[in-house]
Amino acid sequence: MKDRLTAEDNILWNNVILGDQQAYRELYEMYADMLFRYGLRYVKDTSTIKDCIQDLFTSLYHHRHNLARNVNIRFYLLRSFRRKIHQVVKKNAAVLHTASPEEYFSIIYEPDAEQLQIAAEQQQEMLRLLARELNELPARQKEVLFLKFNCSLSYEEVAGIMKISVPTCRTLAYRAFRQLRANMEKAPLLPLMFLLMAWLSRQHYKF
Amino acid sequence: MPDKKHLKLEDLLGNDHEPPAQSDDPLQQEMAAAVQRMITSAGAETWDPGDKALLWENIATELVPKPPVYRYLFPKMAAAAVVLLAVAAWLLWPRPEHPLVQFARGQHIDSITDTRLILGQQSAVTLKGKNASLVYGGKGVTINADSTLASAALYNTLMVPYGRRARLQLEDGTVVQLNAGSRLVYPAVFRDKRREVYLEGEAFFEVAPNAASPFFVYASGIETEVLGTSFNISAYPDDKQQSLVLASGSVRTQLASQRLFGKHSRQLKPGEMATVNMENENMEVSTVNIATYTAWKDGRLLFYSVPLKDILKKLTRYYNVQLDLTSTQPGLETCSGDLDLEENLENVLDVICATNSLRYERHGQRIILKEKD
Repeated sequence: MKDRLTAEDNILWNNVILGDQQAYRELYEMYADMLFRYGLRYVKDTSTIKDCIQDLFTSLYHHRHNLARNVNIRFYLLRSFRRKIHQVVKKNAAVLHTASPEEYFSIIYEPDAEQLQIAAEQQQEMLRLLARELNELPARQKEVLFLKFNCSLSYEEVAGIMKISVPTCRTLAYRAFRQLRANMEKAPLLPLMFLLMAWLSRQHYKF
Repeated sequence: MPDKKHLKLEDLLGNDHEPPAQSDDPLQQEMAAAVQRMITSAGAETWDPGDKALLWENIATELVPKPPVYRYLFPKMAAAAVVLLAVAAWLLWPRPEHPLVQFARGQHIDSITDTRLILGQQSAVTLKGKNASLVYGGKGVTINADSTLASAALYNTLMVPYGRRARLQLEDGTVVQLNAGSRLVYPAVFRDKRREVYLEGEAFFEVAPNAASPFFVYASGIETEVLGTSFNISAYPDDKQQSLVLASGSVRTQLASQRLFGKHSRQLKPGEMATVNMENENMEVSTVNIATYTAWKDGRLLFYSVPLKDILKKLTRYYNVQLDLTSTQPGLETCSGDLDLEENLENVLDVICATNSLRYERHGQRIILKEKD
């Protein structure tokens, strides 16, 4: 379980290196959605995102002879894709803002509508509060959470993608939750928070 | 409430592989599940499957091997190879030697006691006096400021034996002072685009500037392209080193074996000396005191930290006597001084012997320097 490089992944990647079109198709089917959603965190314009995905796959194909053999495919694709998206963001933003591309990461947390319907009034209020607090986290912290929990990466991989050290990465996530907890302390949500964090740390094992 | 030890955030977040905390409260579990969904469902937009499939179609068309470029590359490679071969051939082909150098190398050299001017191959003129002077002009060559000689021959040669020196003004105005035991080959009139002379021995050049016609000095070990300037070249065939000292202006110099003024040539700045080691054909550039190398033309010999035997070699040429050193006492490897060569040899030797605790014995044309008894 620890080693996420499964045998199938290895075979798929080797076929990618060999230039097998079917392997590229499989790769696309497996990861295009994830990349698309990751792209939406930075740009709203879907044609730009699609350009980046296309660019990612074609450059993967043309540089396939230089690819390393044993890679974590998910990590590799996300890292390359992020670089391409950042280039676009930088190009588009150069005139208007001076902020680094990372600052453009955006995500909106919302309580599940169905959940709200069945939940007790007090719980509804707690969920709304939590959503609000999550939404107020800084962009970098949101990206750590997104990569870790929505893209199922380890801290090490998140750190590698965001070009920060693993401790920094942990600190960012830690800070996110500490901030959440501090903001939520007034509300009787404390036990829930611990549960949530337990879940967050467990997430990784699902893959 | 969950167990206290599970409450530490560091424990929960600091490690990817820690076991998770658990709670038994169903309400809390339900709430936690709701928040989980909130985080994971955020940013989970759906992508229109048709749009996604269309993008794959676009990508697939690009996932084809690039056209076999070598077919188009071949003519280019062939062309490149031809160019390479041509360049290599041009560089490596045994080139016919420059006619002037060829002429100079093939010259028969008699041992002479007087300065001699040779016009062409045959007719020779003997020049009397210790310091002969020649000036080339429109009518020919004027010798010692009195007699004028028509110099019809293509190449002229001035040979200066040991014990003599000469001052020569070439047709273009360039002044060459030749030291004892030297030979200079030059055209009576510079007709080519390049002004070229051949030197064996030592000479001080003051080249008349002419940007349209660069001046070249060929010696057996060192070749110099002159860019309008004054400099001293020492290229005696019996020396292990040949050198060029630049007094002013700018020259470009290289090993004679290199033939082309390419990237191996060195451009010198005033005060720099290029030394060519004739044994390993290595050129080095160093900064020197110019006067040390050019004082001879004013009848002086300046030296600083030089082996005595090297000084004796210069005196041998200058006075045309054989000077031998039998002493091996320490200190003779680093002599310094300033000798007036207008003095007669005895006075010069007296100075040398007095400063180095030596004495000398004369045996006809051979003088031996010995340790003092």
